[in-house]
Amino acid sequence: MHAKVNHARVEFDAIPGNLGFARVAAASFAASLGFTVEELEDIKLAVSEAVSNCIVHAYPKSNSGPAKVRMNMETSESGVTISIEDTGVGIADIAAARTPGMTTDSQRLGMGFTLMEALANSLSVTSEPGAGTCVAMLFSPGRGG
Amino acid sequence: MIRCTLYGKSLVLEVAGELDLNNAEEFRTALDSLIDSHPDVRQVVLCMDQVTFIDSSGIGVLFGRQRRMASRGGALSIASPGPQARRALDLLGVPSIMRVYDSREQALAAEAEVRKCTRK
Ligand SMILES: Nc1ncnc2c1ncn2[C@@H]1O[C@H](COP(=O)(O)OP(=O)(O)OP(=O)(O)O)[C@@H](O)[C@H]1O
Ligand SMILES: [Mg+2]
Repeated sequence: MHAKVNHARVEFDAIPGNLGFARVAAASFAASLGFTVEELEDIKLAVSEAVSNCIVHAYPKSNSGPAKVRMNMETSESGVTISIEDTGVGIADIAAARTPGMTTDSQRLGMGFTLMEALANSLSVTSEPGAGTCVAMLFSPGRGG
Repeated sequence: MIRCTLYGKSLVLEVAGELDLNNAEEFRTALDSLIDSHPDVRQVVLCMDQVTFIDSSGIGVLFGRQRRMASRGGALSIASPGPQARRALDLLGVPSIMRVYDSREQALAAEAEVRKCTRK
């Protein structure tokens, strides 16, 4: 029994007030695929981390251009892929950024990517300094623990 | 955003809702002003049963307040996290840094015990 391929895309302003919207949008898109309540909570947490990064890191306050986040959601036989994309400053060294505890903001934990890695079945990060960042996460229902 | 009750030298705080980037600053300011206005308090117990969501922005605030309490010889502990909060706390290794109790009663009993021991 395979779910039909489905796709949705939302674009929203990169502001903290939209975090709740992004979490609920992703979870309700995924909800028809047979995820448990706990798995849907994991999707929300991972989306929250990725979108928070766009708001905090991608668009420094000095930038006056349009600060948008685009969230792409797609189902496949393996589950749902959620990609979160910004057109902000980008990440020069992706491997370093993904290291647990690594942060460019002393007020933060540097654990966002580590959490996303733990929550998603797979995580891919692509980025170009000055052009933006895309974080793609695959979630498969029934993967357990 | 925080309900506050004083039990002897323990300050019990109840917080509700979603703790993320949208209110992390408000959360931090509220916790700091409660900590500052109770200079004698050594144990702060944060009850999280009404917290429906927390991510690294919210947990970052907890770590910072734990450091502030530690610097006055005290501690911040967590009580009664719901399933989502428990999962996020576990994934971030919080239980190795702060005490996490299943209920407020357990937290208060354990904290009273800790005080008794340290007084001896
Ligand atoms: N979308 C992005 N655009 C630009 N830089 C980013 C982006 N996402 C992450 N980064 C960089 O990668 C680092 C690590 O990100 P990560 O989410 O792991 O930690 P953090 O955001 O610093 O802290 P936490 O997520 O624990 O609050 C960030 O400090 C930042 O320098
Ligand atoms: Mg982050």
